[in-house]
Amino acid sequence: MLVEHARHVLQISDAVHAEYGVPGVEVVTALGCSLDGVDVELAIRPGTLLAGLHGGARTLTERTTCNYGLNPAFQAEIDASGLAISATDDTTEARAVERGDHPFFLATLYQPQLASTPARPHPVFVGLVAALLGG
Amino acid sequence: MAPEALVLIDRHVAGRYADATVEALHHAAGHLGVDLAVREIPTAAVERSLLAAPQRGVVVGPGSPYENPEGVLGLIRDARERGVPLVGT
Repeated sequence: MLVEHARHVLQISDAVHAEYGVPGVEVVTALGCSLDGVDVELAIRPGTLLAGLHGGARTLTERTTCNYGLNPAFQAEIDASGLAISATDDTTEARAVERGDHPFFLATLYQPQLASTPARPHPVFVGLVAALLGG
Repeated sequence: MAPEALVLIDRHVAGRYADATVEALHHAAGHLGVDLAVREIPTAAVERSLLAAPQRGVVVGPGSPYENPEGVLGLIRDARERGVPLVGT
């Protein structure tokens, strides 16, 4: 979603994800330290879709398996161009992004599905299913 | 047509995350009391026509690199431009 936004909204035609090893502008880069299989503390931006899904919570703990993330050099530009940073980790790097002009368009650089149970379905998935019913 | 969630995932790469993603959608549907179809689609089989029906949503699953990254990018673009609900994890 970050690469798609960079290519088609920011018009960076050679935006790439570093994992693919192809030449281009690395909008998604390897993280400085691996977050594979660890729980991360996140700060949620008030007023966002993500905040609403979590009942207005300001912080969140989520399980991540990501070794790649948004290149910090693009964070401000991405945020200002319609893909808002809705959660950050303790290094202030983006861990979730979303569009405010769309019914439900959210990317997490953590894996909410790993925390979902029948008794406690994850709010991100509840929100997605509720949104698709309206489509 | 019944509401349907499309899960774009390469199961041989994503392993247990594929199951967790499908299960999380069923948990959400159960919570909402909705009869939701969940269809897993390998990225090599992604087509833009997948978004043609109403009441569709998309999960772009974990487990990159994808076999067909350009196809996934095209579907994300369509979902963005057409207002189709989408989550990337």
